[in-house]
Amino acid sequence: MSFQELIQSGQRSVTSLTSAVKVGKLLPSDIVGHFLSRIDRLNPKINAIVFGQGSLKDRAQDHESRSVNNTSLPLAGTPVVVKDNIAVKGWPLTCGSKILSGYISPFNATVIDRLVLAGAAIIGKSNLDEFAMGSSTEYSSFGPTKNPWSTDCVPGGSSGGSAAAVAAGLAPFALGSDTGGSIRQPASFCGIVGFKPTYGRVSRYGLVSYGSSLDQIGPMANNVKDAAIVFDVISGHDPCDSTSLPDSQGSALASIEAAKDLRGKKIGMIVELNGLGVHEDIISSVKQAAEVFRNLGASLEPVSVPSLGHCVPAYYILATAEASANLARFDGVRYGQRVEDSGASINDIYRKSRSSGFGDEVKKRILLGTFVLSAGYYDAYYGKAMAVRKKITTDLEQVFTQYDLLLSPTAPTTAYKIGEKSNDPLSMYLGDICTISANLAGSPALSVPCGFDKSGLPIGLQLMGAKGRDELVLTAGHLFEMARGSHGARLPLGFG
Amino acid sequence: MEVDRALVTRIAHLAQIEIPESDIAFYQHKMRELLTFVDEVNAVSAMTDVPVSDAASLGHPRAERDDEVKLSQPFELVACNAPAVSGTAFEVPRIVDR
Repeated sequence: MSFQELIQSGQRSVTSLTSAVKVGKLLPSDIVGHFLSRIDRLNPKINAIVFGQGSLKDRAQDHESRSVNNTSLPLAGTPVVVKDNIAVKGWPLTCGSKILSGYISPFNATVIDRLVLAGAAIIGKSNLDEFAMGSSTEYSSFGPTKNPWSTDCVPGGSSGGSAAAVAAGLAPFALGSDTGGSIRQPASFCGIVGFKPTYGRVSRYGLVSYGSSLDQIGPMANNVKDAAIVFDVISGHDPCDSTSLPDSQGSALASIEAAKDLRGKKIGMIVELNGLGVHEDIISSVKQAAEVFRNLGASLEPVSVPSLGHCVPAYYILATAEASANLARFDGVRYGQRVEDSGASINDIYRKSRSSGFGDEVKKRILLGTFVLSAGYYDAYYGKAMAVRKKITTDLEQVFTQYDLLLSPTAPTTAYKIGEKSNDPLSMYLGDICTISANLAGSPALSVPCGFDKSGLPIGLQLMGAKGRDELVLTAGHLFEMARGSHGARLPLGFG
Repeated sequence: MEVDRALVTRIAHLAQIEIPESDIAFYQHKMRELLTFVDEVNAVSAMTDVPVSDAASLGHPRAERDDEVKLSQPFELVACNAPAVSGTAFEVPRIVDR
């Protein structure tokens, strides 16, 4: 089977590509060349990839030729697109911000080292909301990314470039980062799979910090099995990350391959996230998905966790507080853009460089974060938000003593029009309501496609598990996908 | 809570962000909007009996390391993105008078 036939038959998954490489049907360089040519041809339609073309293509091929000669590796010859807030040595790292324009990373993130050792080839860096602050990939100095299913619509965010790239077939998989839903919500909007692992399972070393106690890197792929393969590669203890968990004995891929059904598993349908404010097409799709889980042998029942309905304000206090501290490092002295008038003081440099380099959304969040940490307001805002976080974490721990998994929509809406929420950012913030609790509690959560709305836009469902039960979450998602019949192989119109 | 110009100016000073006089009203509006939004946390926190003093523990892993000197990146690599370098130092305007 030629490469073109392989792609056209829908086999652009990690598993099909690595299998073809292992038996000698395809050369890694052919695969990389194919996806680079797709990027050249199709990326201008959606602006998903911001670095990877022109002279950088040569770097990708160099990288590839060094790393993928061993065809027995788990990701042999598989191209990957990396969100542009993750460090890749010798590549730009801008976080979609003017303040890091021209910055070249001097080192690899741990996840990149692990991908390269597993045979993957980095072919591009993807667009994002500036410093991962947003849910639509509209707030980037590179301009907005468009959703391949409808180029009038946002791809979600902040990992919208990664999601759109995978959905459009520009890469078999991508890396994203998730602070409040930034992997899962764009995965849902673009009809792909997105997985946020348990906090600490994947090293954050080399990820530009937004909210350090919430951030987690994870895979975005065409199907759950691919996401599991990538998760097995990138997870594991890392001494460079002080919040890294010890190595787990489990393998997500082994768990998936051993599982037959979900008999004996209890799934709770979160009442607070399956009703009010959720689009009717989504409610209907999630109900149909619940039937699929029942047919797999799981028992489902509604479960109420009232605190989850109020997680959004607490999240925005905590995330912006951490962001205000993390982004203090961008000062125009050690790296990044410097704005300097003659005779300027060091404080002038700080203020002018930051004011000119950061976009409005980032400045707004830094101001809020600075405020909630400031004297006189700390207890009223940050302290109370931490208490709410603790309450949500405790409530979820309690729920997970009775249920193996929690089911909800990934987002209350499907993709909306570009610009539709620009003047109403609070409604965009509220769109994170289904995803935020997994970050606050540190739990693993997966978004899997479960249908389309009446406009033909993808819908995703979310499966959340107790901390450390990543393998179960991925296994349940895989079984659902197999039982339902995956649509992950289908490319949007105009991206064949 | 009331967000006046003085509050915006003070927070911007703490955040090391310069806000031109003409933009203060914009950020005043944005901060008022955000604070109204996050004020819900007060109502929600009443649902919890977790004392603020106990809330800091998230149960996240936190490794302790030995206090020992380790090799870091070479300076030329660290400084390769710096706007201005002098020898093995980042260059900034003079802070202390001679």
